[in-house]
Amino acid sequence: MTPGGFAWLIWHELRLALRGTGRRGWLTRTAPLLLLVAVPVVGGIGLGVALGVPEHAGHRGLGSGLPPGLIGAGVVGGFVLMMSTAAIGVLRTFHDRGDLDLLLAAPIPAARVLAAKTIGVAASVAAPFAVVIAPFALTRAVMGQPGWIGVVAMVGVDAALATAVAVVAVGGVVVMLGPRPAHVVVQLGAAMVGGAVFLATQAPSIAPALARRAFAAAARPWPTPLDWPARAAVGELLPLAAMIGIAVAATTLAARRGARAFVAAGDAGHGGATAQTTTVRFHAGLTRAIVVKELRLIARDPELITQIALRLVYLIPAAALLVRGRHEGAGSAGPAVAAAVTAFATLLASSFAWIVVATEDAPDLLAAAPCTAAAIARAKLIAATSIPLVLIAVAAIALGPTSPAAAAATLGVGAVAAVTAALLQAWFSKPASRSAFSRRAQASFVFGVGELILAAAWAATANLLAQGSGWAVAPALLAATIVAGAAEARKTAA
Amino acid sequence: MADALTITGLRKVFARVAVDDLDLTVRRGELYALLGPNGAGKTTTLRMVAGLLPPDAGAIDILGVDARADPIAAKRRVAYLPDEPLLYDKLTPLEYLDFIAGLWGIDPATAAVTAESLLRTLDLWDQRDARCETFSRGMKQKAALAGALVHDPALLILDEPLTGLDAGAARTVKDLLVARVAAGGTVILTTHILEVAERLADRIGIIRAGRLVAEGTLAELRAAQGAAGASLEDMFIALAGSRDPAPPAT
Repeated sequence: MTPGGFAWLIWHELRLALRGTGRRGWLTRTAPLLLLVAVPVVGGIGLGVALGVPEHAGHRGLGSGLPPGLIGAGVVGGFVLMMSTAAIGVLRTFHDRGDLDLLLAAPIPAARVLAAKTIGVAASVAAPFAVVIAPFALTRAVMGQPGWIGVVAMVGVDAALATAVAVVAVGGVVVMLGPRPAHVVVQLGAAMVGGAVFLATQAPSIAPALARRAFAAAARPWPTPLDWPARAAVGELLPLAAMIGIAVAATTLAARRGARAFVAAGDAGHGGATAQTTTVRFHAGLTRAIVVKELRLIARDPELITQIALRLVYLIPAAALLVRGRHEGAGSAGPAVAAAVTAFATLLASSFAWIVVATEDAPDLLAAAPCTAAAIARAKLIAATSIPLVLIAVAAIALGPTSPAAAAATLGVGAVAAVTAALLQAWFSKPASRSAFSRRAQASFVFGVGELILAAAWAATANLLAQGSGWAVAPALLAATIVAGAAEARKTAA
Repeated sequence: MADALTITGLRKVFARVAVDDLDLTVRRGELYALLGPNGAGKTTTLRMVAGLLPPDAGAIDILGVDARADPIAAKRRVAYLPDEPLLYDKLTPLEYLDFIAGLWGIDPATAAVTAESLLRTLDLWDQRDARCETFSRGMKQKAALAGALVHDPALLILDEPLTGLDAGAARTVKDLLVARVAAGGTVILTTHILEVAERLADRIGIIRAGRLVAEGTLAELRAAQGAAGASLEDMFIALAGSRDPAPPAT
């Protein structure tokens, strides 16, 4: 590759994207990549051979057994999902990495730099999908069903179109709102899209009737040219060529026009640090100072908020199943809601506690303050549990009129659960950066499992207590044992 | 009246001895420069005084308060500013000062007035609502200095306070320190810029391998060395046995 050339620039972008995980060491960087490639390749070829030619000889591709409408819906679904990763990728590549000035100062045409960055994002968006789909599809194509190539090509088309739209949309948001609000909008938007896609996949469990109707509607044939994506995916040459052409044109246009928005935004940002004037009210006392500071820092970290929100979104199907199961059986849904809210609050309090305790930016500042470490820890515990406690109170108020017992159980057990979960984090979490939030469970497998058991035990306690069952004592004892064991382990470690 | 800082027999050992039976006294109302080559034990000493590091042995008395027996009371009188500013990137300077004032238990109304005055003095008032993450190194250093001063400490400890500051900002900070001492405050600073110590400090202490090897005014140091007219740099190299810090640009 010629240094400074188009391919070289794309390779540079891909290398940076791969190293963006923040992990160090050759093995830790390479092993996941090798596994990511090896598992689907071996599995895909195996599956391709197993389901291969003999039984389906003559079928041209993916379309052999599926209604075209559903294939089209799949292509659109893939595009939407890719949009969420493309938007974040665009923001990171064009703004956060901060290398645009360096690249544009080099004696290379700016258009080449921007195009390489755009293609780099598209490639990183397509990669996870391609790694899963390509081995299986290509094996079937090689074994006599060439139409399957269309699926692989449409992964690339989807990624290119999603990136093109993301470059224009995110660039527009950056220009209109500025980089900082753009981060919030993009992170939250991407999380909402990701969460919505996840919930859509769970629709048959959460809302079966609605899912059946949506499935039937999507299965109907789509009018031309809206059916091009589906026809391209099954390997029809003309629609496939058209889709590839559209993707190339969109990517070129986005790189030429949309990416320049980031350059303009970067230039505008060099004018110096400015901000809208606001009024800051000074607060009295240690606890208020720490609580206000922690809540401000959490509120200003959109990436963290979206990660927490996504984790909670993943709980929705389970909670919905719990509530629906209870509703379809005898009695009210109150106890199930009490359990769901308690589990939710436990995990939320644990997440916030990890953030306020482990990711303290200035521990020396707190250590130099004229107050005890216990007073600071107490204030941080209050900060960590304040939001979960508000949510618990809201849920209890909502449950009160229809199910007073469930409301009381939610309030009492939920509060204890939130505080104990936060305590556990305060006792055992080690200093870390906020970006490590998603990997915090990996830091200690035992702690992660213990936290889940604690959440389940408190949820079961709330559920049984709301039903008036004396068996509530059993899970409560389990939770208390976990907390007592943790306290003892902490003493021993100290 | 007790001295601002009295250190007696202070000792700290990590893998090697960092601070070795150090005795040091800083009088009230003086600007004291603590100099020494890298690894001499300056920062370790200051961190122990600020209550960030427990000493292995020795006594620390801050304005008449035994810092080891009553660390809270001692910390109330001290501000410590390390070379890496203790800032929160996501907070604005005003919010940062609000937080510090809360930690030190300062009355909100008083803190608000002091904060405005400090930010104006340090040329940060126009950026009071910009997040610290958007600041240059020098602006961060000034915001951290405002944080150190917002609770009006009697003893201000600064580790390399002029690092990363441009000439104008450095002058502002130096003027602020001089004004603070003139108003009766006490300042201890470490610096690698020997001209700063030469021009600002009332007394200078030179530390090597965790021990104080020389102390006094510039004239006293010259007299002790028998080197009338010698520069601080010459004496530093002779006493500390190192060419570090780098000589200033000519």
